[in-house]
Amino acid sequence: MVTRRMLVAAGLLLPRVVLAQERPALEAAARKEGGLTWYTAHTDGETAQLMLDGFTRQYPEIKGSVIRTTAQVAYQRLLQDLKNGIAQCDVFSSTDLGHDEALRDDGKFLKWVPDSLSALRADLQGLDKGGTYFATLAELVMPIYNSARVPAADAPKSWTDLLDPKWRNQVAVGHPAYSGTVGTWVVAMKSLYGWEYFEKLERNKPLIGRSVNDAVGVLTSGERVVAIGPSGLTQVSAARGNPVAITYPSDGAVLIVSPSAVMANAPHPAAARLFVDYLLSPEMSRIAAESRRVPVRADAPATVGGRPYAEVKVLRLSTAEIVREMQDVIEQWRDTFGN
Amino acid sequence: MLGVDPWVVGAFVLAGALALLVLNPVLRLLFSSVTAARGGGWTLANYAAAFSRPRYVQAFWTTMQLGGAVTGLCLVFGVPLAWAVSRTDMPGRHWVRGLVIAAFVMPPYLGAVGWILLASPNAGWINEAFRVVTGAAGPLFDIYSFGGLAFVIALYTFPFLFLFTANALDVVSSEMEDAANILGAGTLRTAVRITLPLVLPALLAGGIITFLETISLVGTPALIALPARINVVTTQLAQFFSPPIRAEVAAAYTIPLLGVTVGLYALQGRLLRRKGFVTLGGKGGERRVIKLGPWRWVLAAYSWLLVVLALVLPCLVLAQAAFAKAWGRGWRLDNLTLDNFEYLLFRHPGARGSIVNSFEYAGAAATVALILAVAVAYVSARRLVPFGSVLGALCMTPFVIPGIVLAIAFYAAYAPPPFSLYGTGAILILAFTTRFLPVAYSSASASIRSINPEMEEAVRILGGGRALAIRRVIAPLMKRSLLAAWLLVFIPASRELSTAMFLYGPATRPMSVMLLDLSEEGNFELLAALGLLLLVLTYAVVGIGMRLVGRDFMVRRERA
Repeated sequence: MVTRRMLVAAGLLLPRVVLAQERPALEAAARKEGGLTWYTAHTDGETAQLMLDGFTRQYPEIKGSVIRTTAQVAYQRLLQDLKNGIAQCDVFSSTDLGHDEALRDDGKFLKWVPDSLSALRADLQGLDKGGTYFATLAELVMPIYNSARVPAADAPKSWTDLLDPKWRNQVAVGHPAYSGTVGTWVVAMKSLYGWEYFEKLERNKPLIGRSVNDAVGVLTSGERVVAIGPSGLTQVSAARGNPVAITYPSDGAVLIVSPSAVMANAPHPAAARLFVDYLLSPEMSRIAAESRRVPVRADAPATVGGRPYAEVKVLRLSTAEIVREMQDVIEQWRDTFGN
Repeated sequence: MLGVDPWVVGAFVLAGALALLVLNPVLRLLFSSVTAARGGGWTLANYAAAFSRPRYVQAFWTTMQLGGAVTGLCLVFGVPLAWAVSRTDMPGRHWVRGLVIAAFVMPPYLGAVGWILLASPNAGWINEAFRVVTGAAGPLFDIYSFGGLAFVIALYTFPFLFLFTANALDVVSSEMEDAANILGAGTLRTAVRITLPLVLPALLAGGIITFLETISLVGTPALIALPARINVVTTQLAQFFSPPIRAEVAAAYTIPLLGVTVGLYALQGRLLRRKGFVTLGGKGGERRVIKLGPWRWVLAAYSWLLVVLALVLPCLVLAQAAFAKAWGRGWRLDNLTLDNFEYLLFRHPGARGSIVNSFEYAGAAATVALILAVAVAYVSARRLVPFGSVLGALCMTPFVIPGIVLAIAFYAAYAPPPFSLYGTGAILILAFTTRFLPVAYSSASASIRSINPEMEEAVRILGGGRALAIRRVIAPLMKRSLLAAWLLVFIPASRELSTAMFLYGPATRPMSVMLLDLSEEGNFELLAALGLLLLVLTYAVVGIGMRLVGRDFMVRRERA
């Protein structure tokens, strides 16, 4: 007689099927835990709350709370929690893949397989060879501009266009020591153009905020007219009637693959697993698309500013490159920009 | 009768509490700065690391310059105002006094947000107006600069110097000024050569406090220095706390700040040595209002200019941003919204909790600080134990510790085991208690010393114990001044950022940190809305305080 164990051993029965049978038990346990704390840097605070609300609508017994900060701040708080033996965070969502690599190597993440993992787009499968963190959102970093002050024809068409002296005192950017998204973008620019790119950018005297999202507000206010910005929040802001727009850089929009992981010491382990699985669900892909982010599921249509995602020229860094370069570029940034 | 006096036991309990609050953190800080992060042996490597890069040294030097620049500006802002309010017939001087105190209550980081909206180089209101009026291309005033940073900090720090100076001038009698006048000196010459030197101790004390507060600020630098690309000590400390966390290096980096403080007080001692500043005679000399003639209007204009800059303009733009969809679009009907408040109060996950946290911790800290302060003041004023004055000195010690150093010291002492207080409300309450203990102690001590012991002695002669005397005589007499002291701790504690910064945890985030977190995303509309809520609540507390203890509770407490 063929047992289930034999099927699993033969690779015929996927572990997710096994988990699917356990799902009612997982849901019951999560409801009993009744709470969930999510440290996230994936989106702005409002969108993060929207995403969490989608989850708590399904499980009203679970009282969720989201702490939205930039990736480096989230990581710092998590490390401080861990150092002082505090188990507070259930799900950790950074935008700097280096954080996930380090935490996995340190044994801080739970190793498991979400039900919906196989629904991920092919290029986002197998992000972590260790099976602890999973791509739950994607976004592009693009040049953005104030459409009331800059005609579309004059808007930057590539990353190097931002170096044009005509943008002196008119550029806004986040800070790599705070934002993982900005850090990843800096690594990408350095690999494309070398550090000279930033020495030239410095001559344009950019206004340096912290989060990548900061740039959207700075453009809306008219304080600056071009910026390095996030594709999602910029479009959401434009849809609300603010004069901001994205452009598709000819040298490639920088893809930010944003992972989520369940903490090994999660105080609500069942709710945490349920939540990460939700982040991979069709419902979450719908919310992501509505928030103009790039959904991660293969069955969810992905567009960027009306253009199919597949037609946008995208620059994607390897995890190894991000891990190798991130600390260095932060130091180099501080030396060049002095902050 | 038992062999042990319960008051001696109580004094030892007090000494233990003060050792935990004041001595232990500072000693742990020193200890941590010479402990190797790995292995735990003795080392000086932390000091080497703390000053290993030119950038780190530069941040320290920039901070010293900033402290100096702000102190200078505060002298220019605060001293003329204090003189005008205290000694002259300047019109509206009572209003000015009240409004400077209102500026004092305004959290400095909120003022900074207001000034970002006012003086951003391209979109700031002042610069927009300047371009429209003059047709110039550049800004009038760029807030993202060293000058901008110093100016904004000074606008919210000068009340220290103002209050110190005004309180001192209030008790200087006119005799010496009269003498100068008789000998032919004019009003200005008399003020500069006679009156101000008489209050030199107050000027120095106010100046030192201004300097210490400036170098401890966390919020204003995060909002203005970072975009202005200026690195200061507090932003540098935040870097040491970012991964990989180097708390030991941070400890080493703060020790020279303590050195600077000690140096400042030594300098103060030298300047005041062998000079007489006795201005309070037993005969109660006459105090006359100085008639300024037309100059009173000049001074009034200067005062109101400062009030407008520190209070009116920032509050206006904050209100505009708080009720706007996008602040850069200005006052337009289609730009008005209540969404920011609705979002903060009903949908935001942390905002409401942070409001509660702030007021809860501030209330608890004010209560604990006051109990300690009154107990120590009583024990030392009535000489119940021989080491009473040591206890008093311990209460005043946090006065000379910059807030940011205290935070790092508390982190070193109470975050790790055996205390493991990191992330609890207790560590914040204890840190706030310590930080504002000197305020509570100086109030309590002044109040107790003003009560003649003979009233207690009367109780005891009639057979009552000391406890009864305290309950029935001392407590009713001190009620008002204690409430005032409680408020004086509560108000700054409710907005305290530099101590909270390194000590709060996920569930204990106070409003001040919440504001800083919101500022990360540059969402000034939400930031302004939360700031406005904080302001309204704080002014409500101040208002209630004024009803209960009289409107001068923040001004003339020394003479209460």
